[in-house]
Amino acid sequence: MRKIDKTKILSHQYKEWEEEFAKRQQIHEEYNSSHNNHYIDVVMNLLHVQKGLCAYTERRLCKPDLLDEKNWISGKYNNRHPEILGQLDHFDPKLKKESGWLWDNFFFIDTDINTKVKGKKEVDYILKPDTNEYEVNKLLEYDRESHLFVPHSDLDDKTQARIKNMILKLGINFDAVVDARKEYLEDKLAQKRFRLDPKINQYYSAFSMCSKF
Amino acid sequence: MKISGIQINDFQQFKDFTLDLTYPKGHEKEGLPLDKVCFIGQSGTGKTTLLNSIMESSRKLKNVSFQFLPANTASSNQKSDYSLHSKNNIKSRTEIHFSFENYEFSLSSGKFAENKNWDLSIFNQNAIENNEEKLRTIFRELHNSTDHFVINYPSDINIKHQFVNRKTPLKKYEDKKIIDFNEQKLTPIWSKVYKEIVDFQYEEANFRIDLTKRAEVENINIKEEIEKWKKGSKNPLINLAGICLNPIINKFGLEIETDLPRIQNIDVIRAKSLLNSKIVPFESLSTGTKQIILTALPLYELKTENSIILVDEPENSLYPDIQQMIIEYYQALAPSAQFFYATHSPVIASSFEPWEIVELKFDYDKKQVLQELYFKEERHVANYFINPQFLRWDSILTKVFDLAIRGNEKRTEKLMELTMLGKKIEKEKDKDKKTSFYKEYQKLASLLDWETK
Repeated sequence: MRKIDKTKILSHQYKEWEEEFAKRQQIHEEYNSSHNNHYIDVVMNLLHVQKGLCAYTERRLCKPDLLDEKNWISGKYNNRHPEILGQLDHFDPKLKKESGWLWDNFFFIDTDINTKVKGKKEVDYILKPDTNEYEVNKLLEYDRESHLFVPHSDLDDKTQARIKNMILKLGINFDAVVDARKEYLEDKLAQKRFRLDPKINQYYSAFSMCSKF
Repeated sequence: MKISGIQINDFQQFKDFTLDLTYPKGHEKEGLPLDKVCFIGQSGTGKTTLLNSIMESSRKLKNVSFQFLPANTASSNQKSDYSLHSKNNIKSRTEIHFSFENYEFSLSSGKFAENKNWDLSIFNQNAIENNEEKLRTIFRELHNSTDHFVINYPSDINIKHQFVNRKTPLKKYEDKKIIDFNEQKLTPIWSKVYKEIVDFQYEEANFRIDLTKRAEVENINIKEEIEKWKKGSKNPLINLAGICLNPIINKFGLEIETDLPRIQNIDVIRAKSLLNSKIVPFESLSTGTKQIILTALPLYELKTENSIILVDEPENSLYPDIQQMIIEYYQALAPSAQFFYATHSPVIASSFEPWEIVELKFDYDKKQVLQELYFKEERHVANYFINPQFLRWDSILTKVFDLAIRGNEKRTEKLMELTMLGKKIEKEKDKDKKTSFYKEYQKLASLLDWETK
């Protein structure tokens, strides 16, 4: 949900392979998930640019030390079985068939969101977190009471409706996510209230929006 | 007799699977076998397999012989020098630890222990004769003090044709140590009640005949005499109705008919409607009512001291309010028994302390089933972080049954709309518009039961 800058490439071998398809104007090799040699390189590079968080919910999916640049050797991630949670998502499912390995269309996300919520639903790019126009604070508001994200109330009704649909499709307010976010944030917010200087390592946007008040 | 643990080395989906079925540290019954246990988990995780294993092992209790063989000729994995043995093949795929007085034993492995210390077997070559006699005594006591080792209620119990056939009313269980409603019927239990009722009715008939004869020669008030007799006599149906069945079936708008004028009308238990006092034919009773009668009657009529009672899916055909009370109800009917339940119901699960719940989960990495633990570090009451008795039903569904959503996904959408509407009201300066938006807010909030957080 935080803006994601995907320009930093550490898995060079994958990226060169992916760019070759475009240069040759070829459709991509069939996406076959973890069987592909580049799978873990894609995943770890995504986690690196996503700061170890789910791209949509900001739930933490791995420990920070796994994302240190020294883990990449000659453009490949050096551990084939790192301890991570989550799954690779094709943001726009329509692109999966012919551009299944497209870097721009990948995000690494919470498993529940991928399997139980998002699926192959048509998407609106308004909440794609790596676009130039994306600004989370202008698009979303956080309701401290319900722990739900809602479209920013300054936006017009039509835009709010588009954002509302995407919040639902990306699982940002999926019950299990809301419960986990609420449990985490209530604790941190209580610490903040008592001036105990809470340390945050996930749900940054929600915490920041709550802290405004 | 109670079960204090289960060990499965390799059977179906279980590998190196151990269940401690005793009260944890810090509990007033610390170390004693649990009074009741509830297996929960997705279909296929092995809840019924565990119930069946208990059943299978309990059957073998009947065939224990008092031979003692050197460990290497009995069965493997035993720590004692000498081992309990059986006439029949006692080896089992699962090891059930039975607990009786201060002793624990496992028939499948042949292990025996005093005060839970499996390493310090009471058996050794020098004292074998004394120990043999001791063990004979223990098992004799176990058999004498336990009418029924196990009573089993399967989930697909056949409720039809469970009652007495008038032509063969006094049938008894051939094997009363194992009452398994997979194979057996309620008939012998109803036969016992039936006999008591018939005896009572003959007693009443005889009293009335005598009364009539007396009235011919004496000046007596017949009505008063009958009332006096009724007060001093014991209609077996009155206790059965008042203690056993009415507390539950009253909730179904029924009560047990205790006034039975004709002997030929008691081939099944009779219930009448609380609405119009009319008898409801047994075959017309709801499945839930029949299930209550069928499960409660044996617990009330049989001697259940030291018994193990297995109930697969106790929630079947029962409305949530009955589910909420059924576990306590069964336990009140058989207070000295140990109960094992398997359930998919959060309402049933809420009747248990956290250490009484065994949640089974698939571990896809290890390709086996594991127990989800509700405590951290030491198994101590203070270290439990989930207690279903403290949770609302929806929280039990999400925290205990791992349901990822709290309700229909439409609800989340409507909650978002409500929040958006709230922000609109806050920003609106025109009072009339504000009031109009609030009416919408009220309506939506009401649909959400004002659960807006």
